[in-house]
Amino acid sequence: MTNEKSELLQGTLDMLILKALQLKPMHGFGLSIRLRQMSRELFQVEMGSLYPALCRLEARGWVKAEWGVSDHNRKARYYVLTPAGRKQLQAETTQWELLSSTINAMLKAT
Amino acid sequence: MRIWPKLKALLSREQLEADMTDELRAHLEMQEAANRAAGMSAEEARYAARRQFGGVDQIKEQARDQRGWVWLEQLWKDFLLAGRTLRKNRGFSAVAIVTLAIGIGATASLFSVINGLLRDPLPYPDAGRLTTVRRHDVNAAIDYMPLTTSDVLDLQERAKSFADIGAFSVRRFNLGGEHAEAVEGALCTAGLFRALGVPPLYGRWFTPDDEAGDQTAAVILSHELWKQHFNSDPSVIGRTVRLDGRNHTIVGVMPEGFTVLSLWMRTRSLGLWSLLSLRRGEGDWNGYWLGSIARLKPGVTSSQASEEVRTIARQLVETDPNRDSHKTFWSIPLAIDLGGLPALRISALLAAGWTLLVLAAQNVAGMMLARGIGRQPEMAVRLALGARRGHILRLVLMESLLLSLLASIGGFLLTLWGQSALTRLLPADVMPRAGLHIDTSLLGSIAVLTLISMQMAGFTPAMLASRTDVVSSIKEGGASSGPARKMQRKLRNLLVGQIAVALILVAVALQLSSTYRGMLGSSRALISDSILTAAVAVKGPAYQTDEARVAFWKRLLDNCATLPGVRETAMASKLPLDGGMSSTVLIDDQAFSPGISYPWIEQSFVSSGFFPAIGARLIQGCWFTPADENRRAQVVVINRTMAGRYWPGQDPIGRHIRPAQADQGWSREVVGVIEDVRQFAERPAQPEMYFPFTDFAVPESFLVVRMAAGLPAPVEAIRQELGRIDGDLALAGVRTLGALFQSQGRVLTVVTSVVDVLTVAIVALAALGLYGTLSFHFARRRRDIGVRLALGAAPRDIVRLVFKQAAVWVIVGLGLGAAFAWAVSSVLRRMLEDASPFNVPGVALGAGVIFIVALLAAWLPARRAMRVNPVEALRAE
Repeated sequence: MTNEKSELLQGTLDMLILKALQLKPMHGFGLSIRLRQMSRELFQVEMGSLYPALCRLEARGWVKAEWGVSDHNRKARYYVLTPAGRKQLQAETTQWELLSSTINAMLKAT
Repeated sequence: MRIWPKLKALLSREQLEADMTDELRAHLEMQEAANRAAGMSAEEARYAARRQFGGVDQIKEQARDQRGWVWLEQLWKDFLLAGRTLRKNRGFSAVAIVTLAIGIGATASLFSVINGLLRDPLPYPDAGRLTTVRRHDVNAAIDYMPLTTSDVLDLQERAKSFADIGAFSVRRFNLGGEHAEAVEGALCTAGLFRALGVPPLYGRWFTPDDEAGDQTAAVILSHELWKQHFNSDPSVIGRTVRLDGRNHTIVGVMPEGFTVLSLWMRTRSLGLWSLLSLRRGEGDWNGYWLGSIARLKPGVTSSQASEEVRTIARQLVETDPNRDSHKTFWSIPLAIDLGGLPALRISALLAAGWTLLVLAAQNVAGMMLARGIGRQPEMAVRLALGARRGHILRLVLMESLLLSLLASIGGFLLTLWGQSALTRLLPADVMPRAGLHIDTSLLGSIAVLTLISMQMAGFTPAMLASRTDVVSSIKEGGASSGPARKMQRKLRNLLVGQIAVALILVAVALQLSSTYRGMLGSSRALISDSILTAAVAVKGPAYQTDEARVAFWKRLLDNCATLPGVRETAMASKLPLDGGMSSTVLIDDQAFSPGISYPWIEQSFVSSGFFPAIGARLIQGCWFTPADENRRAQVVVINRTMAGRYWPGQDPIGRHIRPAQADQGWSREVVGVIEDVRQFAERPAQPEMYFPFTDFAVPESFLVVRMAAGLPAPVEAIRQELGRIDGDLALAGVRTLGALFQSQGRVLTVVTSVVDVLTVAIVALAALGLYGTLSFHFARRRRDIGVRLALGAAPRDIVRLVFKQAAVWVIVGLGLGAAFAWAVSSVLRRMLEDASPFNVPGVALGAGVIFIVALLAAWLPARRAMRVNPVEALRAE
């Protein structure tokens, strides 16, 4: 039933989405472009991962979705970071930094 | 994990779905616009967008999985699907639900009575610590024997488990006044009030000083009597009141609602309590006569107390070899003592309810199994389309869950109705004093019953359905594939079992019904509204001797005999159906041995007019006469049962009866044998001896007056006659033998009518279940029949085919059932003293009904199958 991606990757995508939403509310299409930009065109998120992730974040109460109007005057569903989501982002960022610095240190070890 | 968003997701599912569709579409459009902006053609842009996006439905599905409780949603879907399936098969669902609901309702309403009886709250402080001590006759398996005077004194002296122990004996008192009035009350020791612990409203309890003092006559009034006779006057304390012709000092008034509860007086309340001072060797003339209530010391458990009293009984036997060694003490909590026996009395009804539930569940199981076979192709298609086996299992179980859910709602409503019906039907003395309530334990039991019946009804079909073999089921249309054959076999076994069980139940119900009917009939012979009975307590200073009481009765009987319309007057120490006074005897030259437990023989002390007054038939010898009474002849009349038990095949006339005791005692010659007069409504006639009342004029006895048919009894005139002889005595409990029977035989009457209803219900349920299962089975064979018809079979052949199969199953079932029923009936006859024999015509009738129903159930769908065009029948699959 659940898409069996590794916990790590799923968690990373969630974190990146929260990060992308930190500046301003965005719709799904905008998010996909924003994520690509953030990765300097290296990382193309699949829709099959993005939308389930958004649903998951919404279900956990970290983002809220509301209908709005896009720059091109199109009806779009905007995702907004909630206070809980902000806290979660902070916690995940700290954890990620600790993890990556540890792994980096281990990789550099001789 | 946050619950609210998930719950919201679950509740606003449709909104969310629409949102998602819109959202994804918007995304596609934006992508398309972006592609066009990048220079693609319109068509190219759209395709590229689609490609980049991926499968919309997969994404939706994955997104859904993230959103809520998937399993809950699945369950909800299964639930809806199950609901749709049940709605589609309305007939099946209705039959199944009604069947289960009846089973659940019958069981739960009877359970509520028994549960209520065992949990009836007692109106005493800290009532959980109250126990009662009784005698238990090891050999005779009599548990409810009262105590003797010395028993109570021994227990008071030796038992360390009890803070207080009191004894009492229920009595009728003549309360003096302008007109003497009979009041039901009790003699009780000072310890009784201390043990119960209810403080008096005014005055005080009895004290040990009262008990120790000579000739102290003290009385405590109930609130009710105080209100009625003393106008609720608080200054009654210290006043004297005339009781049985003697002055008593009122020492206390108890608060409203207080009474001393005892096993046979669960629902009646007493008017007064008169002080009883027990002295060793005094007042023990009627042996086992005292009830007891004790309060456990803090920290002592009921079983420790029971252990202690048993030890005391053993020690007493060691010190006194003349004591009955087989009669020990036992003690149980008062609440269980009061509720247990009435609960036992109606537990037969509960058992009947249970059988009904089992039968109902079995019926539904059969129907569901038949349906399971019918649904094999459907299940195969579901499996072929990718449903997991676990899912199929879940779906089928969900259907049975839904069925039992609806059934339990129905059962609950039936329980509510059943409770009010039982309250109306059952006599008060087998009902909980607190009435019937819907409480958590009742709801819990309904839930448990539902669960059990669901398991019984649903599980096998579910397992079978989930094991459907896809290929062969689809290919062969279900009827004859391998696993289907296995299911057919199961169905056949179930059908045969169903028929057998139905027949067994019918046989047992019929046997019980005719047994109870026999009991009713044999007591009804005596029941007459032209026989008036009334209690008179001949007590007081003027009636200390037998001679005085005999003289009183002779005067009363003579005076009443002259009243208009009176045919016969008599005195009796107890009435028919009102038994319970008994003793043990030796016959002829039999020698007494202390180790033997002699059977208890009912005994009555009656005047010579008693036999003609109640219309009892003389079988042999003669009755004793007024002349016998006058010369104190040493004679006794016995009943037919006693003659058969002690002198089987011999002439009992001229034989002798002696008391079962070490010393010689008295001896009486048997002069007559009369037909049995029942002592208890619910038991067959016990052996009984009738002694002339001149031997022992029991102080609390009954006046029996036989009226000329159709004439009203001159109750007022009798009352005046009594008043003329002694103004201190009062007439009590005036009623006809018919009314006495009405009250004593009520449980019996109810059980009989319930068993009748059950018999009908069992046959109806069996027929219904059989019809459901068989008709479904043969409806499934339409294709088979169609093929045969297409191949040129004549309708007659089809009929023969269908009947042959149905008949074989039914006959095997009936045969098995009859064999088991016969075995069960012989067990029953060993258990129930006068169970009637195996009811052959009744069982044959039941078997016939089952047989006809079975053939009908097979025939109707087969006929329908034959009416249709063979081609259509083949295509219908």
